[in-house]
Amino acid sequence: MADVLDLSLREVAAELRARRISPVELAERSLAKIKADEPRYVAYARLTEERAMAAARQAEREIMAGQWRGELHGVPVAVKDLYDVAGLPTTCSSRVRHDHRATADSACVERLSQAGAVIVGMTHTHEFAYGIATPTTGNPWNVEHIPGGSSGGSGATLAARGCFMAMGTDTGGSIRIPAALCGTAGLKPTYGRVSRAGIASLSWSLDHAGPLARTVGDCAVTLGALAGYDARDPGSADVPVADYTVELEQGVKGLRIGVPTNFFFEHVEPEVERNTREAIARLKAEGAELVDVEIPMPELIASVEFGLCMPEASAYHRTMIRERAELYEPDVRTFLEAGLLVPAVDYIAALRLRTVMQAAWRTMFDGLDAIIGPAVAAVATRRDQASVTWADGTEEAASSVFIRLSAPANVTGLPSVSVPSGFGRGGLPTGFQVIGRPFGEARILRIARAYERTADWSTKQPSR
Amino acid sequence: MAQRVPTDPKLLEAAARLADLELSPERIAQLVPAMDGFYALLDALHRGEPGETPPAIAFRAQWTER
Repeated sequence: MADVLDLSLREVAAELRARRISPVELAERSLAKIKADEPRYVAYARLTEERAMAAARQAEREIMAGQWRGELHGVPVAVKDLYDVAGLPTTCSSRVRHDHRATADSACVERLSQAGAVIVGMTHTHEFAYGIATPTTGNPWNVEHIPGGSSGGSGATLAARGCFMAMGTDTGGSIRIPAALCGTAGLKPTYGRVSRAGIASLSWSLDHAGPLARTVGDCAVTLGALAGYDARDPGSADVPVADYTVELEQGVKGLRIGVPTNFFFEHVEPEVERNTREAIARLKAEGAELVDVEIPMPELIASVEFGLCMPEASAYHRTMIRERAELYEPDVRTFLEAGLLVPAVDYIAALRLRTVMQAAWRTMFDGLDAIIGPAVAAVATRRDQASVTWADGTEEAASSVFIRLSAPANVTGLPSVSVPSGFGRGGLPTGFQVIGRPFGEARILRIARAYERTADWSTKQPSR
Repeated sequence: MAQRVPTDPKLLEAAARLADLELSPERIAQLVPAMDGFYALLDALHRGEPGETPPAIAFRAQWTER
């Protein structure tokens, strides 16, 4: 058998269900791999070994007794160090929260536990999820480069085969950016699809919870376990939960996919664009109908994103930034102090433009199943690299480079899945995203899967 | 629309005081270069005329289960 840690979540779930491998053995293998790799990658804020082994032993008893809970049962997974895990610190990878201990599981951790998943650790985030680099962590494809952020620890541990799924959050791209930069799949569901109760907030208007995983199917299975209304999250949507796997293999024949003629292909590395257009061509060859679309109001996307995020994040941190300012990392401290100086009318203007933008995107989506574009504009930058210089001489801050193409799905709340599309400069991964209609996760996963079947990027991994 | 006054240390200090935020002179000096970039992004929000468009606020008056 191939190394069990190289299998996808769904493949290892089949092995567990068939009792060809024990959850206890699998958890031990996962933890051993993580510990062996940690000196190089620093993907984890902490391991949760005791809890993991207890869950693995319970899963073993249940599976042996024929009480299989589903495809997450007995599978080693990780959660970002923003998700409360009862009795453990949730530090948000920050010295500011070094003394914070969760009293209860977050909603997602509850649901993962109910599904029988084995949580092996809490992955590093860019401090308080407020950035795209996750500076603690190296990219397994080249540790001199960032894994992306803010869910960089989750992207890194998946690329390194430490576990089979890792939870992230996405406020401006923080699931899809590390997914693209680390060569994994990453799903930001529709706003409100997955409960954020018990997750430290960056921006209530823009925060989404979702999985990074090896494959599109793994994301679909995980979403099925997580999705659902939760009254504890004021943004939670009371919308029926679909079976996200049922149309996965139905292909794209007859589906209409929008290809942007603006915004998504501007200031994008040539290899990123080439790989995205190749993916689009493959989907056309599989029977999709391609439609040119113009992205509305592109010049305002960043303004709405930051107009919402900055004041909300600063409101959340209002006490901590006054009492513990020197404990924040400089980049996050700058954002938080600046956010306290944003006039309320600017925040409300962003909310009003969000309404306008939502309506404009709805019009654009008329007759379409999805739109496709690159997930991020460049491959992973070096850890000491603050900006990117484009061919036309324009210099752009790294934070802008990586958020620019992911922010639209946060502002509009639409579901978006990032899928590996190959490799670019320096042999680093590239990814494209499929953005869908509200609560259209099954459809975007189907489109993403149709492409995934034509390529083998999900089986590639960094050399050990 | 009138051009925004570039941020300078005195302006930033006054704004911080209004926001009840105590910033050292060193901290103000570090923030000044960033603020113009942030304000340029935010100023773009006011270039169009939103008419009667309401803000995208999620508050619902209905009580949910505790």
